[in-house]
Amino acid sequence: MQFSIYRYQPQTDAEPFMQTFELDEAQVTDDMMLLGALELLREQDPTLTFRSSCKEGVCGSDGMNVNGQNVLSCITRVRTLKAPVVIRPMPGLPVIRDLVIDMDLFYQQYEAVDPYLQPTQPNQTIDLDHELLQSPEERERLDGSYECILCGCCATSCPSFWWNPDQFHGPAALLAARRFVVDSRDITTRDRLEKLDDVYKTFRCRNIQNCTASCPKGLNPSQAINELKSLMLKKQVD
Amino acid sequence: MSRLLTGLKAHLWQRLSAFWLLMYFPLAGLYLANQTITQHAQLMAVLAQPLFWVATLITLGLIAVHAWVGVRDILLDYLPRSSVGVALLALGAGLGVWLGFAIYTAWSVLVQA
Repeated sequence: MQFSIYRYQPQTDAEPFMQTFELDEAQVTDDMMLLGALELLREQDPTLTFRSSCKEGVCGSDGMNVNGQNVLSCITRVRTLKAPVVIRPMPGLPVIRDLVIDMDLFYQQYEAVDPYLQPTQPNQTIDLDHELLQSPEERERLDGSYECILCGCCATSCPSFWWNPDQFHGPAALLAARRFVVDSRDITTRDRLEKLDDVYKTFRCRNIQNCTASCPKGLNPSQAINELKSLMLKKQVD
Repeated sequence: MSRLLTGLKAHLWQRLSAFWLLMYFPLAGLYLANQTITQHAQLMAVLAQPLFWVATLITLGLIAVHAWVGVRDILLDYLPRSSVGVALLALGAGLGVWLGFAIYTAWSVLVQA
């Protein structure tokens, strides 16, 4: 089975190039994941660089662009891919080396939405003797938002994020924003929505839906962004 | 203008203007198609009907709003950051001139009728 893999070391290479690798068909088992294939390929060329950690679709380290689609290599079966398998780093962010990208801008956008619970005023301390209880219905509203593993598959497939990665929050950060906006325990809903009401931060989203199509966890950031817009409108009316 | 019409406000105005334009043009076309117009004076009289004239004036304003939000979004998405400010100024000026001319024309219709 043939693989065409993006290679680039900014320190030594003048420009990126695609390198062809071969794996013997006998080595490609039915249940082999792409990450397993990459590890075999790395035995052929130990300089081949990619990220990986948990190997079960939980850590979100091994996002890459495979045959034009952003995927997690550890949960993508090799047999489902059309050969030659073209593997590139996820687009839109600077390449550090081969399939490893610099995700600083992605994390900065995530940090910018204050992705943590704010159940008290800044000068108040939380009463640690009492739990912050939620009804089952209130808890249910968080479903579809909290499962994000920050792999970056959504943001790096979003043209709006490619164009303005330093200004547009991007689908992952906005999904996280939605998670805290609808959380019944958070008291900063109005502030959060006011902060998000910006021509760049939220309203660069053009409903292209690449984010939803590429999310390996089956989440729907596009719907979350539209819900944020509806909540902003509701806040204006209230 | 970029400060006045941004974020959620711009989003809502674009949808509101789109809805108005979607309603106005077919209804205006239907209204004009049902008039007997053989002379310039008749056309002016039809265009100067109070309800039609006011609706047209609102339409002109909403075309400017719709164009501002839509074209601004394209400029923000596609232009290099350094050129956006100048491009937005040019867009604002262009739309301002166009709107001024359109309102003047609408006013002339009222005067001629």
